[in-house]
Amino acid sequence: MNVEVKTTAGQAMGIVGIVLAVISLILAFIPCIGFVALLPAALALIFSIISIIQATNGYGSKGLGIGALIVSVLSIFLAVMWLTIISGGFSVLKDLERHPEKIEIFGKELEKELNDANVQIRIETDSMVKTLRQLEGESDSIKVITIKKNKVSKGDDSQGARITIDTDSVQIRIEATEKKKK
Amino acid sequence: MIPILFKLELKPLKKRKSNGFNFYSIAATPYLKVNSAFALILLLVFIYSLVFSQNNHPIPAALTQLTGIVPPSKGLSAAFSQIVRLNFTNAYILNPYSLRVFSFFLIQFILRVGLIVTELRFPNSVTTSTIAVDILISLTLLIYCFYPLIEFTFKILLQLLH
Repeated sequence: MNVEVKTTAGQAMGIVGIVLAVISLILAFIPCIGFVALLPAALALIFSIISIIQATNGYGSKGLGIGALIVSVLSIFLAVMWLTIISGGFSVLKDLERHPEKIEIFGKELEKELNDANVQIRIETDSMVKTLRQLEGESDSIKVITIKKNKVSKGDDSQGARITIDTDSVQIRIEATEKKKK
Repeated sequence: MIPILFKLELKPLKKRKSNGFNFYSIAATPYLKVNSAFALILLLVFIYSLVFSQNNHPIPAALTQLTGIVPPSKGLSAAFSQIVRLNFTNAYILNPYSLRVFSFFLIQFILRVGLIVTELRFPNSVTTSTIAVDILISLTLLIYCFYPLIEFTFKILLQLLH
């Protein structure tokens, strides 16, 4: 009777591989730092391959190595996806650096759009730091004082809305009017 | 004479031997090693959240800064810092999914520590089926807790493929 005895060959590499692979998979599902997963995933892939080779040569168990290999391949795939998106962002920034007139054109277009919609945004503040703290929730909460939707003075064919946000140090007033198309 | 059909022998029950916390056995099973590694990493995550507060996190939101995309993971580190300080409302404001994601790390940490203690106290108690159940529970928990992040990842992937 042949009794197959498994050795511990490739076990250490398999353990390192599976730990790195699981870490990289969790990192890959966090979009902000997803691309960082590429490093542990690549290491996990290398360790898992070494583990499988060692296990094959030394009659060891290949389970850990195979598991690490599958998880690391999935992590690499996701990390490459995030890297592609981020590199796309880089290329847009580089393009804007080379052609700064594009920002100017965009600004003019935005201004035109805002003028067409007749939107006014006015921010009055005496302390930006205090305002930011309030916005982060460390200080008093923001209170929306008025939200009005009424007919404005520019004749009966227009409708408008006004939102006033008032805190201790900042007052934001947003007024918008929409002209009815004839 | 009544024939003896069976012989009943009463033997005292053998007490199961327990090695207690035998740290040499850490080197024995790969499952124990993997659990120890994960427990240590999770502990480091909690320490990281405790050391850094809301405004001094070294991890930047690289994706938002470079692409303008606001992912559901934005503010997660800051929210974790609030959770370990038991400010759950602030954590929810910073990131609505933070409690869900943090619960994954916390449950996993408790599970890992529990499994380490069990294996050290009762060697050979962990079988292949224990490992299979552990993988199944962990995977289900990962999908449930990370669902908003996984969903966002696959949405981006589909957009990229189109």
